[in-house]
Amino acid sequence: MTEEKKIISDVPMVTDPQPSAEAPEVSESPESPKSPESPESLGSQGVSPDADTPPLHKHKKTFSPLSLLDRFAGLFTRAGIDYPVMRRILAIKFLMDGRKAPSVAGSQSGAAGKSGNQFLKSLWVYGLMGIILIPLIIMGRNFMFQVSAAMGIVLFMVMTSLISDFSSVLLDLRDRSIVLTRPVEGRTLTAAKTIHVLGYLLMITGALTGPSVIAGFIRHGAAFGFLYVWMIFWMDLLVIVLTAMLYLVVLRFFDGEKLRDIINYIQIALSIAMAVGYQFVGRMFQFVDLEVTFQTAWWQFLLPPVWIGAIFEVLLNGSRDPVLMVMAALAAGVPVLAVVLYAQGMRTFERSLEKLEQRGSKGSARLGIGHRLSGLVCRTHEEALFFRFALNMIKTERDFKLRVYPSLGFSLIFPFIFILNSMQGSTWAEVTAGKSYLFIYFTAMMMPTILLMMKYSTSHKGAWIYAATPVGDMAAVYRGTLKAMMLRLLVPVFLLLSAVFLVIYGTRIALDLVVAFFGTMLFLMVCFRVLSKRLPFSEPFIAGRNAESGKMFPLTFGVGALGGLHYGATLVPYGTLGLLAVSLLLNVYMWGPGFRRHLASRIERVDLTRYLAESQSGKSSLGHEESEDKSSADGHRKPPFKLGRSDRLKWRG
Amino acid sequence: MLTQATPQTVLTLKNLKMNFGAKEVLKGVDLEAGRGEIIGYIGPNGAGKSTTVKIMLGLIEGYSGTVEILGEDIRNAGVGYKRHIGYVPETADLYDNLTAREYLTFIGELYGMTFEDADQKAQGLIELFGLKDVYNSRMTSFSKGMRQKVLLIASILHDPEILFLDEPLSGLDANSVMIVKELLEALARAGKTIFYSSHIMDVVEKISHRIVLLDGGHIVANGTFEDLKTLNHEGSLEAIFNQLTGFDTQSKTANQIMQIIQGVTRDD
Repeated sequence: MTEEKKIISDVPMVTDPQPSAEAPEVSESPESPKSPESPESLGSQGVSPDADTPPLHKHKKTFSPLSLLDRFAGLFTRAGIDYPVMRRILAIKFLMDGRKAPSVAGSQSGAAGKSGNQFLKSLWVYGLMGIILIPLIIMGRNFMFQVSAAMGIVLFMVMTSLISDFSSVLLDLRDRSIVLTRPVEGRTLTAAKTIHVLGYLLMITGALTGPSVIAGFIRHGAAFGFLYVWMIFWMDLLVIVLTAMLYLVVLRFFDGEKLRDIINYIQIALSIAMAVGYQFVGRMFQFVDLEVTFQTAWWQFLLPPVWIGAIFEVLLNGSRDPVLMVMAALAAGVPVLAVVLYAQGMRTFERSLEKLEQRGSKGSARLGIGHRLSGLVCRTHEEALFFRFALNMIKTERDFKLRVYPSLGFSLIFPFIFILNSMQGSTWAEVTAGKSYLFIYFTAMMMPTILLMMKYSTSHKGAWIYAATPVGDMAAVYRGTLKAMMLRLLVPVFLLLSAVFLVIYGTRIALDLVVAFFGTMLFLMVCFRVLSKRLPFSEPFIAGRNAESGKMFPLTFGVGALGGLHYGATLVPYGTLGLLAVSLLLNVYMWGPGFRRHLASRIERVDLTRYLAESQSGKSSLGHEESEDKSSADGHRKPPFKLGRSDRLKWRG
Repeated sequence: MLTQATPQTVLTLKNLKMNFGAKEVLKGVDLEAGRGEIIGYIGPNGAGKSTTVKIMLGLIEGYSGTVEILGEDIRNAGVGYKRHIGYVPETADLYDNLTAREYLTFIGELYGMTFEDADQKAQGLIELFGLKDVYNSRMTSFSKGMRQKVLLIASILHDPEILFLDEPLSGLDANSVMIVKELLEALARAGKTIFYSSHIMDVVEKISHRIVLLDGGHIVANGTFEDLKTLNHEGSLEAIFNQLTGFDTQSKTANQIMQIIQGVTRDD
């Protein structure tokens, strides 16, 4: 043990060991520093030790979480884990996190409009959300209800955050070929990954439950506070184990692609659930005064938050209800049992990750409906080409879906939320006779997001095709892409909403729906004109917020204006028909000659090679500190770093 | 066949079989390797080369047959045997947001070296590979060749007995290729065993002491280049490879390709 301690040194775990001044980043021509080498001078013996090694021990104190972990070294060793190696892997992982593009809150930032682009900043968001737990905790001593509800919220938040932001850590494949090919046991690696994730989860839950913990200490005393903290800790462990098991099950039956899809959809569902959840928080306080009586039911045994409610009820309120006693025992026992089982099964977990590397099925040879439609909706051959290209690109792009599908979800849900809101105090008959169907304009809200996102791609490096192939007509590129976006993203949502609205409001609104559709198309053109034009799928996804999100807010007023105009038109005889005529004319102009004219004025035949070099190189390859604040000529802020699936963490020690 | 009994065997595969679901990837591979041997391990895509290497590295379990490395059956051996193995993966995986120094010392320590020892060796090697100026730079900015050099250094840093190299020359410039070739010779002279996987037949032909050709999960040839030449009456390893893997339609295929690109289209 002591010998191993010596081997695994504590050295390079400072956040940034070398000041950038003495360690210049590689310049544009990375191959340049090449000294003439002679074969004779090679060999591991002839090493000349360089004296000017920067002192590495000086920052050591800045990294404390790991020394905290050292107290439990014995525990890990007993579980068959090589603790010094695990510690070294963790140190390297945290070091790397400190350099990555962080977006733990980023996945929600687009939706909720919060600019948390650092992990620590995102903790504030969790802390703020944690405030809504305070009333739940302090409102009484009905722990069965209060604690269960609070824990339910915490569990949901933590589990979804784990799946959406930290899956990449658990499923990292590089670890296999880099670490497992070295003399490291699989369980040591899995343990390192687990602790890595646990570190973040504890910080998130710390922020999320912090306010309510303090409130709990004050309101219910120390016993409550300590029990609360203790249970939260074990909940975190349980969440990790459950997630790992979920992955194991999915991997058992499906391949890695399927698992990635499932994670993707969970992420999307999370973003939607969060935004919709905000709408209901206000209402929650309306029934806070209600005295909720607890009635046991069998399914409550399946809900860990209820177990925790029970343990509070039993320990602090002295309940001797046998059902609650059993649940309390579950709360105390299951997480421990789960962790023990997980420790046993850690080898299996690493092994099953092998399946992630296997390629999926062959795919089908069908060209799909988009291929046939491209001829119908596009005028030129080139336009049809880019229409199909865009359709194919967004079909499989998970990062694109992650950023865009939530707004599709809002478009589907918000009209109903607003209709429900407006329903208060009026009858169903009044609603169906009213004009709340105009909330269908909410679908237009997705347009700015789509336009903002269509320039990004994880395979942005493929964009050299714009430069290498004789693409002459930029208007065709953009128009084809825009049409594909409309067809793939707007049309399905719009059709679905229209169908539901036709059932609710009757066929009298058919004309209005048509007007709304063309209004939305027009709005797309307006957004396109306002936002800067970059080649589709040519830039890496960026972390945090886009500089242009500033333009999003005024654009949403455009949606309101459109809806208002439509409302006004319905008050005038033949107003809707007139609006349709105007909108059709404008559409024809803006999608037709106006489109080309606008593009010609905005893009004076871009030097594609230069453009691509600019949009691809500087950002992703060099250290992000330098490029962070550069802006290109059109005020478009260069995305400073690329955001891959695994680039979601930020660690400040 | 041409299996040679080598004086000091460091690696033995006996009837190695592996299935992925219903797909049989290895159908009974028997192989021995001795000290100081450079084995060119070749075969068409999907022949099972990287599966074999992954099994030997302990990345894949669930195989049947035995794998002995340095006299130990790796199934029961724990991970200690990996201390004596160096590996250059084909996928060129590395933690590229680390600096070369951070990465190499990390790998060295995983192999059980001290930080100081790993740092000193890594610094010396990086200098010899012409990367001295970027030792403290993050590898995100490295070119493919520079990354490959780092991977090579990571594989030899701990002075291993056995090296598994998968396309180790990929991305290297001509001068660096020469260094690596010389280095492989030197390593072999020092008694190291090298498993050299590549699709570039000319290089395999020149540097390998023995060539093992895997096709469809079987070893279809195993011997020196001279052995293979006399047995197969072909002049180059490339030709032998074609012959043994039953591929002789290259000129026909090339002609068909020409036909297609010049517009003699198939009817859709």
